[in-house]
Amino acid sequence: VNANEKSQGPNDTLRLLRIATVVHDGLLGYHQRRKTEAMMSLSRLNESLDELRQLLRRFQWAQQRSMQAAMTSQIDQAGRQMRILSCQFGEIQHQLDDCQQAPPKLADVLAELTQAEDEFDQAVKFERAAKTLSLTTDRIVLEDLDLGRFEIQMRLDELGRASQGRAYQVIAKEPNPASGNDHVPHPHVSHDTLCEGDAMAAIRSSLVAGRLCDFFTLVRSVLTTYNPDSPYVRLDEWDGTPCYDCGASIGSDDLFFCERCEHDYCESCIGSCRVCGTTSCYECMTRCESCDRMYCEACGGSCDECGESVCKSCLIECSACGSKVCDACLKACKGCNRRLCQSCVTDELCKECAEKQQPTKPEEPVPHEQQEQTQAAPSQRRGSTTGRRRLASRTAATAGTRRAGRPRRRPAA
Amino acid sequence: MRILYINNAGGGYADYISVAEGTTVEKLFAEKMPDANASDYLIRVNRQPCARDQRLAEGDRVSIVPTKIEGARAAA
Repeated sequence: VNANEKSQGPNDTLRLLRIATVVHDGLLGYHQRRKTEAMMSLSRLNESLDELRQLLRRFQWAQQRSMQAAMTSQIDQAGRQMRILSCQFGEIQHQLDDCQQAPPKLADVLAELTQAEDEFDQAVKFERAAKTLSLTTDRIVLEDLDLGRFEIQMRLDELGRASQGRAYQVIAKEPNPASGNDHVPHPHVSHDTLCEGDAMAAIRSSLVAGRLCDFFTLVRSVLTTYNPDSPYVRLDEWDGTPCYDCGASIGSDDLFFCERCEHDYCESCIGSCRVCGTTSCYECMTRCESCDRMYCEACGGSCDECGESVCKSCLIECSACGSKVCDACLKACKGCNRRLCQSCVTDELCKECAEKQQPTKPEEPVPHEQQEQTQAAPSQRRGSTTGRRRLASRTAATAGTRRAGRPRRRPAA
Repeated sequence: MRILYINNAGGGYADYISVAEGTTVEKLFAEKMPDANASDYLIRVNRQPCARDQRLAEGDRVSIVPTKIEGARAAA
């Protein structure tokens, strides 16, 4: 049956009666399944109670033998089992309440269909093969935005999944989707699924009770209302530019432009290079392994020691060899406290400090004349580091010479 | 007298309730939904549009469906 024009008369009543029969069978099947599910749940509950009884027997056995650890273990398991039972009781109570609700009579379904046609001023569309029952709204206009008509398509085979929102679809007949998302033809519809919001409980209740007219009018009420606090796409952003990354529709004032890939992005999908401050999308930037912040392609480099990709701000020049290394590859010399690359620090000392601390090798004897000159004019050596180093070397050399020249005696035993 | 009352503004459950003889549709609405405006609802008695001063009778079926309901984006 597929008639969009509502007519009156015996033929029309017969048409509706045929549809009502199929819908009624679908609802009866659904209620029968609910009863079967409730009985299965009761059977599972019985098994859970058996497990609890078994735990009690084990506990008594352990108690007779004063096995404290075993008793504690049984109490723990009993606690878990009680939580499972508590959930099962709640679920079964809900299922039994549903089962007590009598399925609608055929006459009620027929009356519902008739009323629904009156409310929508059109004939219901029934697809026998697909087992779908549909009514189409008038054009939906929200804040002067024409979104076209929507077909509310109830799926008789999916009534059991009403609680998951899958018992019906909302299909745009003349789609005018958000420019940023083709799957959003209405602020509260995405991928043909209505986000019911405040109508959720009422819609699901009407579906399982077979109150078809209430169901269709409730869905229509949601479609004709705009909730600016929680839309998929806001109406004031309906004709905006889509974010190149997440697809959200963005108004021109809130768009950001990536200077590298030259695409538009929303605020959440754009950032700036920590080094040069250039606005870039996250695809065009790299996360610095050292400071964990983003940098653009032009502001990156790699550590000469470990090879990690880091931003320029995190590359530090070794003052000894000039190589550029990341913070993790810097080592402090214990002698002079300078931070150098790992290659320039051996045994926690830079080359210079290591040289200072090495035992001095015996040097060639200093000529006698030069020794005299050194001793005679100490003031001439002051003022230069090189001079002090030379003095130190000479003094050590002289001492060495003295020690060599005058060996100490071995102490007597 | 008892009537079947279906309020789709809440959980959408149907209940048989007792009302006083001579209760009008307007009075029932005011009692059940004191903070609501009747113009925001489709009120039907026995599936038919009704006048506000229509007196209810034993066994009547009264349904109230809001015409404005806020949808929402599904939680992520």
